[in-house]
Amino acid sequence: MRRMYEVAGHPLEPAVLLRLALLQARDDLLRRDEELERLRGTVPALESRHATDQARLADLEAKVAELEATVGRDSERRPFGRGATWKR
Amino acid sequence: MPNLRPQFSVITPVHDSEPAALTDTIASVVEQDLASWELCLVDDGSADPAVFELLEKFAAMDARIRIRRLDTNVGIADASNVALAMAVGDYVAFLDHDDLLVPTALSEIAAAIEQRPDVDVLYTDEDKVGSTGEHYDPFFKPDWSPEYLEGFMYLGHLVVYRRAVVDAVGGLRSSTDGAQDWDLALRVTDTTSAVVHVPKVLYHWRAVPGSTAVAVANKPHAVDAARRAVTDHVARTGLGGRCVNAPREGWFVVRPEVRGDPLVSVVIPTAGQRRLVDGKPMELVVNCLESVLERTSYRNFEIICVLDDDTADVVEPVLRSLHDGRIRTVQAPMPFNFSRKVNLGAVYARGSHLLLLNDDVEVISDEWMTAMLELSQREPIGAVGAKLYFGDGTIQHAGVVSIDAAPGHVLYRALPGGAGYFGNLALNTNYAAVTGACLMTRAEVFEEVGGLSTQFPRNYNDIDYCYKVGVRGYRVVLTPLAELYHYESSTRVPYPSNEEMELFRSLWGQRMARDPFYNPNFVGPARNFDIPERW
Repeated sequence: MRRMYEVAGHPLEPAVLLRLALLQARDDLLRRDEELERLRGTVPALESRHATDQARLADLEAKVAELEATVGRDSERRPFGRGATWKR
Repeated sequence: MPNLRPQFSVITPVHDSEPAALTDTIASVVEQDLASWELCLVDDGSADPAVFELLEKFAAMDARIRIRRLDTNVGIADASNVALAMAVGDYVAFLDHDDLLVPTALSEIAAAIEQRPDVDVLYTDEDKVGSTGEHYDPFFKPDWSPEYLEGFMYLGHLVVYRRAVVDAVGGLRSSTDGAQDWDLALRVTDTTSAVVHVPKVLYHWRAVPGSTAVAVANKPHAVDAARRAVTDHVARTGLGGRCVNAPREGWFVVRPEVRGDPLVSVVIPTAGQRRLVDGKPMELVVNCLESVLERTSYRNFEIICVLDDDTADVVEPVLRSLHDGRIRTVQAPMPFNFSRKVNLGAVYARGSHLLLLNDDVEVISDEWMTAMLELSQREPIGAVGAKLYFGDGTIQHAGVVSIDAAPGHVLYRALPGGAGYFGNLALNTNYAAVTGACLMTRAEVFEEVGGLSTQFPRNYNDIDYCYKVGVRGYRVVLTPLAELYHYESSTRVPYPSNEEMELFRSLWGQRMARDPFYNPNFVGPARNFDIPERW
């Protein structure tokens, strides 16, 4: 019998939320980079926020890596497909 | 002690030139408002001795005019190389023997070099001058556009190179005589991207019967030479691929080989809407999916439909009825946010390339996905757009440009069939942005820039995405080979909200005050490449 389409997973699974948060963090960081570029050297507080964002991004990336390690390699059992290749 | 070395060496090979035209050409250099130049004229074995006698007269009048005569006709590339060997300037400018420089040409170039001292290549806008002196057909060019250059020698005239980069590639190649300038531009820009566009008409290309200014068909050997130049360039990129003919002779579309068999993840956000198209009710997502499944020649793709929580119960059975295992679904929690829906789809994607697709499009060309993938896999390219049509066949999308940071579609509602403005409807063309209604991007790029920004729940998220891709150093390209219908605005609010517009301008107003791919000389609010009455 021909396989029907499948429901990919639940969008509120922690792993999915983490990945969305990671995208959000990278978007935020890019904005901050842009802002910094415009205001370079003129707003010290902005540079401090930038450092905080970078720490937040690193934390999220570490959590995703940890999650990927625990979920395993079988794409059938995973809520998303590319796993280890997700990270740059 | 003053520096006596000229800044510019103007390179002009001469062959059986019409004396009056040659006189005007030389005079246009002599009349430059900047003094630091030399003019290197090489008579390439003209049959008429009067040609060299004319050069001798000018050389006697101005020590900056240096001349040489070749006993035999060696062709334009080698004659130019002889002139290059005579040249001592830091920059070399190529001037054809019957064309004209604007008096401020070299000073404008010098000013651009002062602004960006590391520049290796500079080019300007140009127009044509007819036999009665009338000026017409101005070419207001985009800023540096590598993919466009692969299809058409859009740098044209005036082009100025740092002398060292020309030497580094070994000068011009006689094997590409007739397209030697295009070949040089490709070989130099294979090695440097320090290219600056001066958006002013500083060169008049004389259109005389038999010249390529009138028609490329006048010099069929030039077409063969051009194909050779572009094919060699493709080989140098190491990607493999081919150079196929575009609708006009001497124009090409480069089609790099698809490496491997990468999985493409098509992400389609849908609310499962229906509408009347040509008077008939259409279930948009079904029409879209059927066209993708039936008309796509590339086989390795998956489809992720992102449904809204509140309409999923209705849409799921419809998708189920398609009986295709390549389709998966995911439900997006409310409230509605288009960007979040796309990001959610991307999270579930397994492919190395994402293809964002609105549910109100319909595939026309079988090779649409292949053509987009060919470009998407090239490392410097971050986003690839498609050519979209309304149901009546007029242009819906062929690139997005900004005027005063307000983005809009070029040639919107234009009739199809033409090549556009200097080929931009027929060739791979660089833009700052393309619509997200059909946009391919590598998954790694999508992740790097943080996907679509949820700050834009309905509008501008695609343009914002492309600009983000641009600031990360990737290029955005539109391929004319990916053609789809787009039954626009059938699934969303047709007019952008003021909030989103204000946010967009606050984020990009400064950087995109001048769109690099829409020449500032164009006039009018429409993005139709409308030229001014005077230039």
